Amino acid sequence: EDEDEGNGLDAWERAYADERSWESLQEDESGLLRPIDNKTIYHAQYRRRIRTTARIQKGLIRYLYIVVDLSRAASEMDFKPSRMAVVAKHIEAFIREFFDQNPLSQIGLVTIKDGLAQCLTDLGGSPDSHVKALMGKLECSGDSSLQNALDLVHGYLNQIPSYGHREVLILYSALSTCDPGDIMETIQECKKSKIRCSVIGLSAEIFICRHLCQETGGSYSVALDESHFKELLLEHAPPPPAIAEFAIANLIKMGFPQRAAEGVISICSCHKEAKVGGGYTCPRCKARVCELPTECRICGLTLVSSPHLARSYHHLFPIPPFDEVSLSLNNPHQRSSRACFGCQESLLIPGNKPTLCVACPKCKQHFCLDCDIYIHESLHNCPGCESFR
Amino acid sequence: MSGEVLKRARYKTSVKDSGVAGVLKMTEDKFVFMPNDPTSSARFDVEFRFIKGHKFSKGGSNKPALLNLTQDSEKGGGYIFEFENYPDREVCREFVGRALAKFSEASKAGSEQSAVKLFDEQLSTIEMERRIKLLREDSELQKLHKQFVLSGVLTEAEFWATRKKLLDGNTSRTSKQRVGFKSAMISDLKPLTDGRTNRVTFNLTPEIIHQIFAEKPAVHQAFLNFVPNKMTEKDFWNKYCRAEYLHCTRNTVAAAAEAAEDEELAVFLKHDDILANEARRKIRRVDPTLDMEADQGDDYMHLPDHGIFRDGSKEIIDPQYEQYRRTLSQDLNRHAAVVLEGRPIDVELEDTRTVAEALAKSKRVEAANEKSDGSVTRERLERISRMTEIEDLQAPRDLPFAALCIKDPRDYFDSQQANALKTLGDTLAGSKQIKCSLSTQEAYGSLRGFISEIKSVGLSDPIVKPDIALKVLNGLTQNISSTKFHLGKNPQESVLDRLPIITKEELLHHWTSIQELLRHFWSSYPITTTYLYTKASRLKDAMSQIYPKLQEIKESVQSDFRHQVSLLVQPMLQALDAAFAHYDADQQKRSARSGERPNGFV
Repeated sequence: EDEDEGNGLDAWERAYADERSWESLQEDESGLLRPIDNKTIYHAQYRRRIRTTARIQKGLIRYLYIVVDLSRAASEMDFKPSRMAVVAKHIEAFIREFFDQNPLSQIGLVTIKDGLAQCLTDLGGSPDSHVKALMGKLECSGDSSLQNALDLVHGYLNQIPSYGHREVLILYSALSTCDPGDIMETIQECKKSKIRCSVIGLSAEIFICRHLCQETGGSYSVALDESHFKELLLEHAPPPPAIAEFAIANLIKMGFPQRAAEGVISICSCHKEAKVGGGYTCPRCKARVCELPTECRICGLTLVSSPHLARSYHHLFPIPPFDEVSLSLNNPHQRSSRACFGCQESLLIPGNKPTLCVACPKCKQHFCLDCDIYIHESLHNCPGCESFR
Repeated sequence: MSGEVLKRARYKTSVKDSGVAGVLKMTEDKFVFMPNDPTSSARFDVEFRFIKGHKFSKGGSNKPALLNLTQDSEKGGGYIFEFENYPDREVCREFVGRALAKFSEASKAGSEQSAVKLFDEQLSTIEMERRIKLLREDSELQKLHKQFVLSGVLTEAEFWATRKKLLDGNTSRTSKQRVGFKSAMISDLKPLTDGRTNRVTFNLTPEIIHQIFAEKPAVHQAFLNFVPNKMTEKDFWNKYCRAEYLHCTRNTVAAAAEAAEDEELAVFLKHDDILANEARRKIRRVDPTLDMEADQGDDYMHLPDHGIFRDGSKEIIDPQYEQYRRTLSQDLNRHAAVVLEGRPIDVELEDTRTVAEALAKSKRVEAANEKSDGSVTRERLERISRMTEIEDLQAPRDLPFAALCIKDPRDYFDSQQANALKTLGDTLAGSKQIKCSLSTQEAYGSLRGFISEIKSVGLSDPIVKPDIALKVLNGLTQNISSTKFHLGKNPQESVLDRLPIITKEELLHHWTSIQELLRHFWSSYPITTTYLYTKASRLKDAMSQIYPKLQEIKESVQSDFRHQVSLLVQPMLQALDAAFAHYDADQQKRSARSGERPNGFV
């Protein structure tokens, strides 16, 4: 055991004593510090995130409730300035990312305070209303009750149609839960209603949270610091794989409204104001709506535009991970590919040493590490493959 | 509340009349007025069948609340009632409205009445009041309500079904949630000490008392036994607080001395036997894979303090005072166990006696359930078998993912086309189907021929003629810029504001009523029951009534606004047309499917 500890030093101490982390700092010509190259670290992280390319169903139409714990423990200051403030800030970023990647889905917010759970916003598709409501209600007090939150969410999610994927994301700061009844029963009910509950903890791992996530097929993780928390939170933005026994295949009716002509004046059904031009007309009942995607207020048809569907569709067909190659200058075939195909930056570091880059297995183009991350996480199309079509 | 209404009212023959005071009772098919003065002749028993309509006075602080039940509009005559306040009048008015609606519908189709009765709600007074309040506050809502519900186009239930949010309002769902026990140990009373007067004050709230009873069954039992027979509640709590104070001082000798004198006090100072029995019973039922060494201190039989030494040395206590010692860890563990069990009762925490009794009852029920529940042993065995597998060595119990299986979308479109052709084929009789077939060679050859022709000659017949295109584009640009110009440069000003107020109100009113009707119309499709069918036809009739009104507005307005008004009215007409088209198409499908059946009944 003494050997493991290394002369009584902890791991973080060893980083300074043995590994001399300050030596990786370098100065450039004018004496300023060069930024530390984190690219390889990010790249390694990102490669860990890419899962197998087996074709699995994903929940594209998601109804997600975010449960924010505003109990006494949320005022702890181990996350600066307080846990509650950090959570709120990152929820805002998460909501925008979520609607970017899942345009057909809806989010609702629930808070836990004083042992009771309250619904802050209903399920809806506009990010601004959620963020505004959350920022206005940031006070914490009292105990936290997991059962009350789950009961409330369960009541709401039971009403959504069967083709939607029901999810709950709980951001839990407390270390305990004070419930009025048997929480195991509530967990069984959630499992029966096919609600996938995930938890991100801010303090420590709690057995009941792990049990909840295991039973319902969600994921449980505990954040170590603010950046880790952000990473864990954003992991929930892309659609999760659908669990076999929960998934039902359905045909869903959707409308693709046309944009109204410029000269048309009509009273829109969402604001009750007369608007000139712009807007979309529902193909079934001819009511005017202001923005997409939305549900027509008159006939209830889901109205989307084709880019929204496209953004959801590509989650089902992810780009295969690129292969790591190392450029060697002596190979005549690779002489042409000294620049990244995506951003045209040189793939050689000064000194003409071979560097790490990746190549698409289909079109064989080379890309730098940044472009690799960008292509797989945001663009979802390989520029090399597209340019050959 | 749904069956009849009973209110004080004055019957008047005319508005100026002072009226005869009495009581008005309304049931579903008739109303009865009984005057207070038995000698008066103003006594009525009239069935709603004879009442054709009802009118009421507008609201106002000084105006009386009048309700006028009119008979045949030609002959005149009716009954005017004045109520004491507006809510009364509203309730009666609603009731009358519903009764009249039912009667007018009953005259339309006798079989529908049974369907309507199905949807007759049992309203509580709170619901009724809430609805009346909402109607009073929102004049638009009231207008809509008057327009549709009282004229029988929509029933009350349907009208309010889309407005559940407004009704729910304050009675939010959190009122149905219960709070669990607090995780803070409030049962551990900390007194306020006053140094000058040497008084010690304990603060007991009902929540604290509830927790004390839950955590200390001996105290609970003592309360049930002693109060109010042997001592008052105040005395009981005084003794309890004295015992707590002695514990605080950790003076076991003094505790023993006082316990010897006061029998009741002793109950609070000694160990809790009931708890000890419970603990022993529970330990015997725990599954054998759990390590119970740490819990041994809880059963009051083994070492207190769980064998943990304070300051590295054991505290030596005289065995005779052993039972007057209480340790913090025992208290903490007991509190945690109680919190995790949850809150067993839902009673309002006001009277200590009720709390105590409710708690006792729930415990008896639990004990009875345990004895009779044979599945407990089976559950235990199941749990034991699951726990014997070491968790780290178990395979991950992840639920399997669903594989992606995308059907060829052409299947859907082909099947739809087959359906469409079938329906077309039914209606268009006698159209011949031309069958063509080309071999691949021929198709390829002709395509090549066309391509080479275009390559050499160029497109001779362009799809868009350039001069026509220019004309169209110019026209469009002018159109758009003129609209924008006419609207003015002020972005705040909306089109509606520039119209005369009457027109604007009328347009908005029509728009809201159209929205309401359309919403109900579209929600009744697909039609599966006769109720929905009649509802759809009712709504269609109402919509066809509004249609000409819109045309009228277009014509009635001044010429400078006519263009804008027609632009505004156009989308409304389009929406109505879409609804009518859908209705007609559906009718056609039904009659085609069911042949010659009358009324389109399914």
